[in-house]
Amino acid sequence: MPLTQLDVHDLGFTYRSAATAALSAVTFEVGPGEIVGLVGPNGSGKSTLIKLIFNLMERQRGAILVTGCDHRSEKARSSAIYLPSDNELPEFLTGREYLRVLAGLYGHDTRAAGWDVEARFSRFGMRGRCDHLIEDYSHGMQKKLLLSGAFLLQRQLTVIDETLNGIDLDAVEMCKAEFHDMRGRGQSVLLCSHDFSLLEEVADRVLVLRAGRLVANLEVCTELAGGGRLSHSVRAALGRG
Amino acid sequence: MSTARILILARLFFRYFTRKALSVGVLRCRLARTLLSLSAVAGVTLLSAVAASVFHDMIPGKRELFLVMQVSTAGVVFWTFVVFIFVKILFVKSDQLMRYTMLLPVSHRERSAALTLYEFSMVALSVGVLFLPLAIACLTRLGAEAIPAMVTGIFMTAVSAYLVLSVLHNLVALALEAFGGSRLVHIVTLSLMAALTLWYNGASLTLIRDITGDYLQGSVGFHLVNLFPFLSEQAGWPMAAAAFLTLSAVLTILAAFTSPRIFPLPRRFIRVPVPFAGRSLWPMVAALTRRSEWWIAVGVAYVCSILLWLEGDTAFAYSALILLSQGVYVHSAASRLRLMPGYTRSAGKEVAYMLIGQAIVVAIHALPISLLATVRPDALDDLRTVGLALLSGVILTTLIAIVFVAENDSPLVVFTGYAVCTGTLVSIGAMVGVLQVPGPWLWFAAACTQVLAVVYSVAGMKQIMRWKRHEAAVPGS
Repeated sequence: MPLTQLDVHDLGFTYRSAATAALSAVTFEVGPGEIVGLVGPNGSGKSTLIKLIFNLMERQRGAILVTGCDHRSEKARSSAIYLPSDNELPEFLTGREYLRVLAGLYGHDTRAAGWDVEARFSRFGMRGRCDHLIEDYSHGMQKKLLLSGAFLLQRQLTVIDETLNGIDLDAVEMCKAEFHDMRGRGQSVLLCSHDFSLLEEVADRVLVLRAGRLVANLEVCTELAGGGRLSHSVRAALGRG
Repeated sequence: MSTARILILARLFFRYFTRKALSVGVLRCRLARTLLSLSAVAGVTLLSAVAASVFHDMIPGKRELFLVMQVSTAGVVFWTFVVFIFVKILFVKSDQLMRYTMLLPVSHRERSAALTLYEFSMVALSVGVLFLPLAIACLTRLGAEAIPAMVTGIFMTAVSAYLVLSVLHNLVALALEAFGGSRLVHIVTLSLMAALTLWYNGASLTLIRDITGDYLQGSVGFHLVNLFPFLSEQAGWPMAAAAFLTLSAVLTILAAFTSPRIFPLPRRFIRVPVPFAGRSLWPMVAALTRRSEWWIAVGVAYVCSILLWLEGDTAFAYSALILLSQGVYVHSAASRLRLMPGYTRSAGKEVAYMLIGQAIVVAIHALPISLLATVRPDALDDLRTVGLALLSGVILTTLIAIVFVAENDSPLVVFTGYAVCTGTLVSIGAMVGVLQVPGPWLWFAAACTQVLAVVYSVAGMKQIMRWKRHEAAVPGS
């Protein structure tokens, strides 16, 4: 098993229309079984960072390793899954078909133990909906489908870009339990969220981005010790304390 | 019902569609828009001048003008059909706007009235622009004397045709709603309207021949489309105007009463079972087959082929080419697949999937049409040509779909794609006709063209992929 699931080193990126860099000299690691939060104000570079990790935009400077391999390699691609903030799903497929296609893309055997779409849908409160077109799903249900895909595929690295926003409380609780199981299996999660209470409950560390720079790498346990609040620590790291 | 709210909503529709049309490609540039507007004005002026020059000899008096107007009624009705369908498609593709209007403090009747007002404006504007050169030429030739014939032949015919189409559309929608087919309202109504348009287009030649025949025999016949010119000729211009006003009032009331109780929000996809799930080509085939527009094309192709088959026309097999009309969407239809986690394919493989996927879908749906030939063996020769045309069409439309990516189903891009497709085919046809190339060389050239189209498709796909990954970034920073 590699030492790190995600290794970002000296990453830099500048948008065409911008005068300043969206990301500069960003360096961090995510270890096996670690759940790491990614926070920062809007426009601080969180989504840019995630898109660069998944090679959706051309890296300009620095290096990114996923499970010890270059992030553009076949092995890296099949080791990680990205859940975007917007629900850009193939709406012409049913939920079950979507998950089957996803499994095909990741080379995952759908006959393997643990691949139970019906049960997954039921746990997310969507019993009997897996054969409906995604077009007919509500916003929250589409998010749950994205999460179901990630939980069924069990990749080494799961990156979640605000996908948990807009889902009901039961589903959030289920996600927390899933994160706990993933940690137990040595799988890592990079969780981009503005929900500090969620991060306090599930994250081991929280990375704070401000104007494209990594300004803090907070250990959640340390920050919460003595009755502290994560949101206060993050505000302090952002210079707003 | 508040007139002010109806007008606000109609203005909102107009602004939305104008901005949607102007948000594509070169049209974003003010200079390009100005140049295009100037070209359009120059085009209308040139066409008017040519028409005036031709009519100078053709229209010596009122009788000949009357014939021209009677003949043009056939064209006016056809273009009303086309614009009506176009506007309906625009609304079907604008479900977000329609959903938004549901949140506004307007009643359904007000929304329907605003939609009708917008549709009517579009039909009037489009038919007006299309027949402007003819109107200018007639006015230049005969002065104010030409106005009554123009009003009956163009204006009254277009308005009545639009109202008849609206009532027909609403009745079909109501029937579907009554039988629990609300989800299929847009697909069925659009398929029927498109089939009706194609049927009318076929019948209009006979119509024109009959009208001309009547003129040559010195009589005026009634052919439904020429209702108002006929009434004007038989009972005078005021009588035609009175009939127009009465008919319009009746049809408007009917259209208002038959409008569906709630606006049927369009569904973009139909859950059609697609066999062989799990195969790598399956998602592409599902993406193409489950689009509701695909089934409109299938419906129109089948209706046309059956009508032609019943008429004894051996060319019925060519109706299968209607299926190719959906080829320009092959790239955008699968765009959401490309956004799926783990989706990584080379440009060549992606183009191959698009070609094979489209070929499979077209071949399967063309099969029932080809089966019609088994009971008419004289059509078998046509079947071979149709097969080759379909294959070639799949390659060409895939290239067009990559060059003119119909993102968000932009109608302007789609129409540009269709126009380029038609232009290319017409140019090739003309070249073949002019050059009189010997058979074997013609086949060789055709094969080379197909290979080139595939090569360009792959190059285009590579460019799109590269652009998507680099567009936002400063190179070399």
